[in-house]
Amino acid sequence: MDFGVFSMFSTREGSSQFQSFNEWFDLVNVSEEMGIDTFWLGESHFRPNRAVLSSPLIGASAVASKTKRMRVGLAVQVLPLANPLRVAEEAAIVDHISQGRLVFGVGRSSFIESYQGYNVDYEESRAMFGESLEVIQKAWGDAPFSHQGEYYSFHEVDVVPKPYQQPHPPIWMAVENRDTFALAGDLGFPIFIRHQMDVPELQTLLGQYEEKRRANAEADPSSMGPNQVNLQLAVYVADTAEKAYSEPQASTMRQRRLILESIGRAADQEAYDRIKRISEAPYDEVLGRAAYGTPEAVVERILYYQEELGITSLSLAVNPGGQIPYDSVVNSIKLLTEKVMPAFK
Amino acid sequence: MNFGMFTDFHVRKGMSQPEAFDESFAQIIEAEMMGIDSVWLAEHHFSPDRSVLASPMVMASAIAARTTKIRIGMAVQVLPLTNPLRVAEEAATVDQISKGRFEFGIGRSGLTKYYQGYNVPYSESRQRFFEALDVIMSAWSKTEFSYRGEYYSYQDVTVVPKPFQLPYPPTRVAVASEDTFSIVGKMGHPIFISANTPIPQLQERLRLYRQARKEGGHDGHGEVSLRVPVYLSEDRQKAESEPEASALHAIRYGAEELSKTAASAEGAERLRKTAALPYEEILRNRVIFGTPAAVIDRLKEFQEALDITGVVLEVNYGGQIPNSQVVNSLRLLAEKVMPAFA
Repeated sequence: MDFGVFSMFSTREGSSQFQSFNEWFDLVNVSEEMGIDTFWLGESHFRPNRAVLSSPLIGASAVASKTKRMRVGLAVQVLPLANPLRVAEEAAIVDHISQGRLVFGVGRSSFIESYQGYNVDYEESRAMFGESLEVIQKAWGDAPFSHQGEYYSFHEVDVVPKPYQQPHPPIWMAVENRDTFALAGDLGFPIFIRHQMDVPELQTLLGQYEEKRRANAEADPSSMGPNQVNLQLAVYVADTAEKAYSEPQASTMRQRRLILESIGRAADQEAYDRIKRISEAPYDEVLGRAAYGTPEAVVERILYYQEELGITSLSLAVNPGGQIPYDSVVNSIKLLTEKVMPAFK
Repeated sequence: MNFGMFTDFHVRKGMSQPEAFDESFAQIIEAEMMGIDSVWLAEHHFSPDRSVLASPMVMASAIAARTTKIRIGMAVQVLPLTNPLRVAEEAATVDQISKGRFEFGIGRSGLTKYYQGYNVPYSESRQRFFEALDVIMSAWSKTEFSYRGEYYSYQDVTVVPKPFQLPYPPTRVAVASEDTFSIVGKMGHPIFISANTPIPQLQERLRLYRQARKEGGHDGHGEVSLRVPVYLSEDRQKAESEPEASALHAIRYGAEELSKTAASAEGAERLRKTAALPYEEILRNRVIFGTPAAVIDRLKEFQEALDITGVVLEVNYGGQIPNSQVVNSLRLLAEKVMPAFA
């Protein structure tokens, strides 16, 4: 099991934006020192009360420079908002700076607010996503490439540099919407999931993903990589069950409120219903979709996900809502790495 | 006088791309330790035989993370090739990560090759440039902004993060053509000029820049940075011979490759003409290669003639000078030249 920390560099009430960056870079160092496997960076636009990381690739470049061991992942770059040629160049440079530690995670996002800000039509996002990914893979190839598409056209372009990892960094894809599971299986990439639906439904959807992957592998056996599924999960580890319950409560509920505030900008009805349900849930129900507890309880919780969903890696939100005191977050990461991770290695 | 080192993460013949990153990165770390004031990053696309620096912004973030003193600038971000909203976010992020050491250097580039690759008509570059600059300034200085332009439109957007330096990082524009000196002067931004242009012509254009600054209601004389190749050695002979092959490579590359996609006929002509000049002429007028004492004299001449406030020094002009010689030249610059201007 690959243990990752996930962050969009959340902001703390009363802190400056600089302090938010600083605090998260401190947590990058803590994670590197304590043995976290991967540091995952999310993309958040236009919401100063939520997070400051609008450029995960710029963040990844700095994280790569401050670390030597951890893998540095995007979770995720919102592909339809960017020029794919530029993303190909930027990601390849981060791959060099990290000497091959970049994991290239991509997605579309379940909210349209970033699309509204960027003046991009969400209706087009799926088509743009597919085309962008195609352009990026061509750009990372050996030879100059041309592309004539609906949204992007390039003629005889030789992107420099090529990625450090050959042929390219691992590509991961976020799936949230119910009908993207099969689509992701078709593309064959490893995926990020969240516990937003009930476990039996997730099992069904993961079945669709796996079925598509297998179908493609029959046609082309070389396309079948290992099954890799990453679960994005809120985590908080403390010495006692009581502390693990109460210390992150206010911050966690704040995060639910922030999501509810954005609900008007959910991508579609499916996303609206899915997000509304989880963001209106009372704390005890939220805990049913998170891993808060003593080290023993968290081990058990992760084992449950491993058995039921076949997950192979975790991207853990270590400060959901962003208001848990810094020292408590560090303590939680410490317990995670010392008492939880060994049970899975 | 601000002493800056220009770098374009050059690729030498036989060098792998990882080696290119390692060498230039290491030179920047050395430069910080020596006390060089700033490092300036170029932007080059689609040129595997020349440079791996397709994204100066991503590199600036990496440099910011590894250094604490040196200022980190772009020289320059080719603005018309970008989405200005994204650039505003990225540059503000680098400014935060560097704790306010970021310098936002921008330009249009004189090469159409990058525009062809990005599929942006060069004929639109000027208008795109000024629109993009408008968008970025609004994104940084207003809590929420809207913009309606020919190429870019945004509605009620709150850019996060804001820059660390308020209201925004120093924004320095590369100017070459005559009318841009006036336009940028009126806006009040600092500028880059290049030693490619003869001094009398630069003097005339700087007069326009300063006059326009005054008309625009901007105090002071304006910050002007001169970009010029430099190479130092204790020995005059070596100072001229060691960088010769690399300098001639740069000039030949300019005449044979860059001139093919130069945006203006004037630019293409200048590149070709330069290739016909004897090396002695290059040494006299286009570069500053010499002993520390000679370099001090030449820089003072430029300072007096043009009233510059900073230099952006191409310490590996042509990209072919071996690393140890570049580092030695930088050391002489920091130890022997910079104190004369302190």
